Amino acid sequence: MTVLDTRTAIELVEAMPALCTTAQRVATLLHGAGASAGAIAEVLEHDAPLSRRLLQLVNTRRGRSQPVTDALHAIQILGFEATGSLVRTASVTGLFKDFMTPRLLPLWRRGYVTAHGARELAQSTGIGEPEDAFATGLLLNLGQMLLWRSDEAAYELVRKAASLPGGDIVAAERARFGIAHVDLGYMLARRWHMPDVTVHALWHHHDPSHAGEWASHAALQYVADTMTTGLGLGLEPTQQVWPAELPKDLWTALRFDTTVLRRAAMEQLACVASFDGWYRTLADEGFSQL
Amino acid sequence: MSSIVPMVPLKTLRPGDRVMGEIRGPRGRLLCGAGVTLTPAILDALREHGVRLVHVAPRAHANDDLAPARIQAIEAELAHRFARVPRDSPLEALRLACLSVLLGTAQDGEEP
Repeated sequence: MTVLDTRTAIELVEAMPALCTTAQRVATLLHGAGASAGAIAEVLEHDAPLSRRLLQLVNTRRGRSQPVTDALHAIQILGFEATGSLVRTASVTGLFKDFMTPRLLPLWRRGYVTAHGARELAQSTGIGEPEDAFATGLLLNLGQMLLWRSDEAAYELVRKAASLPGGDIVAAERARFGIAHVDLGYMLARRWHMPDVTVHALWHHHDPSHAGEWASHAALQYVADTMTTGLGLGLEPTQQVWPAELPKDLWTALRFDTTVLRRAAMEQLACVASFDGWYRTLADEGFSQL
Repeated sequence: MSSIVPMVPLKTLRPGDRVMGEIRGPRGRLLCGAGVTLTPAILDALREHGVRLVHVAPRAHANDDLAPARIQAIEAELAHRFARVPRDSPLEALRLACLSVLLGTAQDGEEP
């Protein structure tokens, strides 16, 4: 059995690079008094790979509208809050370039589809900032990627155990590795100074009712992730949905009516068409300066 | 099956389709009211505003044209994926949403 003790888990997380300096400078500018779009754009334009990732995320969001080609225009469209969130997302995905292997591609696709569903759910219901929901959805599987990379054969056994009747991926990961992807996601999000909403939604997306004040955000991610699987866009088309405990009062508070759910599911199916381009750009580019 | 009303991609709509609910732009501006019959000009305007999904009248996108075998196959796939979910769970709403969207997509001849 491969068991990661806490120390090893911490080493695994600390081996991941910190957020790039550009993302940190943008965060500082956004949180400072008198932030200006021009100043933020100037910082971004000195980091071509990060700017490219940001513009791609913005243009994916805009569908068939005229593409945005410069950072200043992107900031003017998005506003400061969404810009901060998308810059963090663009920066984090750049850190995982080494994880862009054919074996891990289904996890990337799953995260991409879940992110689109989560953003649509947030937009429809007002639960949090849509771009934070997108970032969280994209990061849901990063912990799985770390475990998979640490011992691929052991992780395959975990997936097999989880697919058995009554199986549970989080329990199976903890049994074999001593830590689950949700725990690693929490640690990574803390390391990258992600907002509390992302940290707690990552940690509790398999048990949203335990997320305290962040329960609705964690449940939103759970629902988006579940619909990804339900639509046959999970790791394989036959993957089954894991039924988390969703108390009635939490479900009611989410206000996920039929129209909201259908709209999110439709967005998830539609985004599959843009996945290849997004993934290719990410895989082909160089690292931004760390 | 025909009682399931799909949200459909804008690109699949044609003049003459009837809108079921209000369509708003990214900033909340009303672009098209409920009950409006789509014209080429309205479709162009919706495209311009980046609208991608529209709630349309069921008669325009009913599932009646889908082969029963295809409907059964989609239902069976979903039944398998949601096999662990009790039917009285709130998650049943997710299964129905997925079913609606997958049937709508199959109607448009696309595979997920």
